Formats: sequence, structure tokens, C-alpha cells
Amino acid sequence: MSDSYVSYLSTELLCQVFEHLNCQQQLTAMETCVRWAQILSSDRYLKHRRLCLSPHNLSPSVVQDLDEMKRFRAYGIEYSLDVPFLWNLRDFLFCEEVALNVEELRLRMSETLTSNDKLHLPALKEKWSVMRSRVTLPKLRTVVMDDPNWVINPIMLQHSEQIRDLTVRYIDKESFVMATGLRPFENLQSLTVVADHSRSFPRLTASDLTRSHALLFQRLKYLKITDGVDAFYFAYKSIFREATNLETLIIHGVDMSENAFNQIDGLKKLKELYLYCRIYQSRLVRHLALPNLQKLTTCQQMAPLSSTPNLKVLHIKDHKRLGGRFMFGEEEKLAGYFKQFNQRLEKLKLERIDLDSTFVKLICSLSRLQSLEMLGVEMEQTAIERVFNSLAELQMAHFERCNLVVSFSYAKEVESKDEDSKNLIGYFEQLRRDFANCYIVDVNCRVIPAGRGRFNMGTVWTDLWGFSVVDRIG
Amino acid sequence: MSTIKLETSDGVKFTVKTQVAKCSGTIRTMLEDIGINPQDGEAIPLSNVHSTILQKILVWAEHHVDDPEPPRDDADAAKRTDDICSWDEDFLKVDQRTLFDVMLAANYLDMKQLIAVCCKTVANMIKGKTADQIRKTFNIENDFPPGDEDKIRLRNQFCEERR
Repeated sequence: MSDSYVSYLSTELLCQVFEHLNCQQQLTAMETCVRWAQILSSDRYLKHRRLCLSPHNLSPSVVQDLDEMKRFRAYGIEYSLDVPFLWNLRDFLFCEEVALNVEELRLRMSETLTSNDKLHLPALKEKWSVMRSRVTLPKLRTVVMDDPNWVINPIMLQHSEQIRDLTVRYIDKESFVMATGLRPFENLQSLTVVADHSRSFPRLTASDLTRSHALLFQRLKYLKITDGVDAFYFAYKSIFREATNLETLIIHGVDMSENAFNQIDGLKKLKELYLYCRIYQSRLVRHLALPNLQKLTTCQQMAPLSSTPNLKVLHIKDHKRLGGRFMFGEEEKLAGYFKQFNQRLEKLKLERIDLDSTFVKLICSLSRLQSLEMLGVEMEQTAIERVFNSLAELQMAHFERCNLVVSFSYAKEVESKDEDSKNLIGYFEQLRRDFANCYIVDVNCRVIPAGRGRFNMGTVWTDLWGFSVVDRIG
Repeated sequence: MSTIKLETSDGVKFTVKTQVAKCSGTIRTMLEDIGINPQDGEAIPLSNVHSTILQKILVWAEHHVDDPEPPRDDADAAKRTDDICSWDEDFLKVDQRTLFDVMLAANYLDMKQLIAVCCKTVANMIKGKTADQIRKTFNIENDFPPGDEDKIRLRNQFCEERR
């Protein structure tokens, strides 16, 4: 066999290569040879992986390497009523190596959950008694409950006071109220709720939340609600009223009332705010004054602000305008917005937006901007040069899947696809030469002639706006 | 413009613009911290680098000498591999022996940008391939004891990314 030159690389260099692979690619690379397997199963990589325990890999009939399986810090547990499996699971989780080191448990949802699953609840309760034992998992900090039927599981109840990071799936009101209200969770800092199940009605209301929920929300520093079914519409306001210690609030939902939105103004410790939902606005909407806010993501509509002296990072996503025009008052609001930050904003990210000349002018006013990122943005090609000419401090610019609109006559000259891309490569090369102080990256951008796209309901439009809100929840 | 001399492992001497040579962290340290004086006319010995490889690396350094420092704060940006510029892509279209020699030399010379672009290139050679295809690509011998490969494969089937 001839030489394998890759084997000359030191472990450190190989690691630098492996850093560029995602988890799945790293796992494949592990199956190549002993050395790669050893490197890729070291703690450096292992801590980013979770092992799922199921009757398929945790049974005496399977050829397995329990010792290796016990080195993980995070485990997923498959929903199963199979008693032999639960016994094996118990032996595995409660053995010293695992019990002393496990940091994360993810109790997985059964794959097909129907309304009949409620019937299993008593059965499961009984089966779970297998797990009832005085085990202590001193490092357990993270619990993910894909299926709130597991609420009654004794491990969770025993360790509720040491859990810092909890994720629950909102299947129906009762189980959510129980999962979050049954125990005090004295040390909970981070709560993630995923509501994506059609059984989420009736919606959660303020009166469902008890004193113990209020205490829980008061402790939180991080709250993320991904709500594809609008289950939290009536609860947002009372949650925000309590959660005054939040530093990060992420709402990826459908609708939010103005009253709920106004309550966000009371979250004075917020450092990061992400809002992806429709907010019903009238003249009573409050303009947020958030003294500590550093990072804002605002989608579909601009969240109105009055004072955010520490805002450094702004991400505008899916900013929709009917027929490509500003809605009433929107243009002014946008201008007011940018006026606020133009001396401070360091990082701007625009995603799935079409930029018109007003917007470009506003970007040009951000004199301290260091980093500009555009994903799926449609704009005139000349706008790019205007931006670079205005922003002297720009250090990094990233363009990905952008449509650069050129005048129709010019577009005719570059009709064929090859010509198009050649021209574009030349264009970005030229930009890199002209603005050498800035690190410019372009990925999959294309030139389109004016008139195609923005006002046509053709392919470009669908590319930009063709998803439904629920599709994007992830 | 000031120049310095570099001497490779096979005794070849190169005269290089100081600015270009300073793309190498190792040489930069020698000049600035240890205080080797390039005016002495004495060549800096690079005992781990062969002349053919140094020549190649100097071509790269010459091309990238005016590059701004890329921002390093973004973990996602550091992970991606589809942002190799077309010049670098052509530059690294070489046989594997040269590619890995360049990588080792870049490591010895402490040239972070060149190492990064080499790593991305190698990562791209791994991506999308099965374990078997990876072994073929890099001429790696399957040295697992019997049964071990199956165990790893079974375990990996149940692994997922922890975020």
C-alpha cells in the first residue's frame, strides 16, 4: 500500500480539519480507522453528542460496547413501555460511571402521539416505578421533555431543584401546567417551550398559571417559546409581567397582543430580544425602552423602540411590505429606528428582505457598522457600492443567496447563465480589490434583470416569501 | 523595501520581502521578539521546510500579504467550508503529498489563514463520503480489529448532535 499522507498530520491539525465537519460527518469519519475513531471519540467531541438509549441498543442481545456508551454526558431515552428495557435502562443510568457524570437527559416523545395516548398514562406511571429508586445524578442540569407524559417520571421529580435548563413540549394545557408547576425548580435559569401539536387547544390563559409558575418565571434568565399553534396568545402578558429577570427572550410564534408586547417594556434586564410574530398594533403600542439590550432580532414588523442605548447587533428578518411599498407610517418608523443607532450599531444582519433605496440610504447612515450580513436579500447591484462607500469602518461583509438586480439592458448582455456567474465573480473580485480593508464573502448570489422578481409573482418572489410561518419554526 | 533571507531544510536560500515573510507568525516572532537582525545578511534557518514547499507557500503569502485580518468572533463562520476564495481553490489543486506538506509547513511557520484554508479543503474531501470512500480518498488502511467497526457503527447510529 502506498503512503497515506494524511497520517502525517498531528492530532491537533486533524482536529482542526474535523472542526469543519458537522456531527454526522464526524461520526462517519470515526468509522474510517482506529486513530480517527480515537480522536473523534475523545471528550472534546463527545461532549457535543447525545446518545439515544432504546431497546435497539440497550439490550443483552445486541453486540454493544457499554463502556464506550457510558462515557457520554447526554442521553436521549426512547419512550417505551417495554419492562425489560426499563430494567436495562435503570442498570445503565444508575451505575456509578453514568450516574455521577450525566449532565443531560432527554426524554423522547413517542413517534406517533394520538389523543388515545392519554390512556397509556396510568400504565406508564406504573412501569416507571421501575425507575423509582434513590439514585442521585449530581451533575444533571439539563432535562428535555419532548413528551410531557414523562412529567411523572421520578428522576425529574427527584432532581427538580438542581435542574438549570428545562425544555418541555406543550401538548395540552394540563400537562404543561403540571410539568412546570408541580415542583419549584429552585435553580431553573432557562426554560424552552415548544408548542407544535394540534392538540394544543384550549389555549393557555393567565388563570391557568399558579403562584408556583409565577415564581418559576421570576427566576428565569432565558425564555424561549416556539409556538406554531398560537397556544400562548392569552398567556404572554402574565408571563412577561413575572419574568422580570430575563436576559434573553425569544418568541417564535404566530400572534401577540399589543398588551403583551407592551409588557416587554418592563423587562429591563433584557440583553437579547428575538420577536418572530405578528403584533397587533394601534396607537397605544409602547415604544420599548430597554437600557441593557444588546441584540435585537425583529421579524415581519419592526418592534417599536424608544431608547436602547446599548444596542450593538440588529437582525431584521422577513420584513414584509405589501406590494413592495411601505405601509402607513412604516417608512418614518424605519428612519426613526436607524437614527437611534446610527452612531452605535456594529453588526447588521438582513434576511429575506428586498431593499429599496430608502432602506439602503438608512444602512449608509450607520457610520460605526463593522459587520454586514445579507441573506436572501434582493437589491440593486449599485446599492452595494453605495454601502461600501459610506461605511468606512466596515470590516466584514457577507452576501449569501442575494439577488442583485441590474438594469434590463445590461441584463440582456449577460443573458446566458454562464455569463451571469462569470460576471458576478468578476464583480465581487473587483469589490474585494476596491474595498481591501473589508473581508468580503459571497455565496450563491445571482444577477437578475430589473422587473423580474419584485413585482412578478414569479420564482424569485416565491423564493423569498414562499414559506409559511409554521414551516420556519425550527 | 527590506528583504530577509530564509534557508530551507535542503539548503536552498530564498530572498523574501520582509512584509511577506511576516505572514508567518514564527518568522515574525524571530524578528520582533528574539531580535534576529535581518540586515546581518544571515539566512533564517527553516529546518522543517523543504524548498519546493517554501516556494509554494511564498506564492500564497505574496498573494495574501495585504489581506485584512478576518473577524474571528463568529463560530458559524469559522465552521463553514464553502467560502474558500477561487484563487486559493486553484492554489490547493495539488497532489495530496504537496497539500499535506504545505499544511505541515504552514503549521510550523504559524500561518493561521493558510492552515484554515488547507483544513477547509481537506474537510471538503471528507464531506459527503462514506467511511469506505474516505479510506480510498486518503489511502487509509482499515485497521479496526474484527467487530470493532460494527460496534462503532451501531453506537453512531444512536448519536445525535447536542446543542
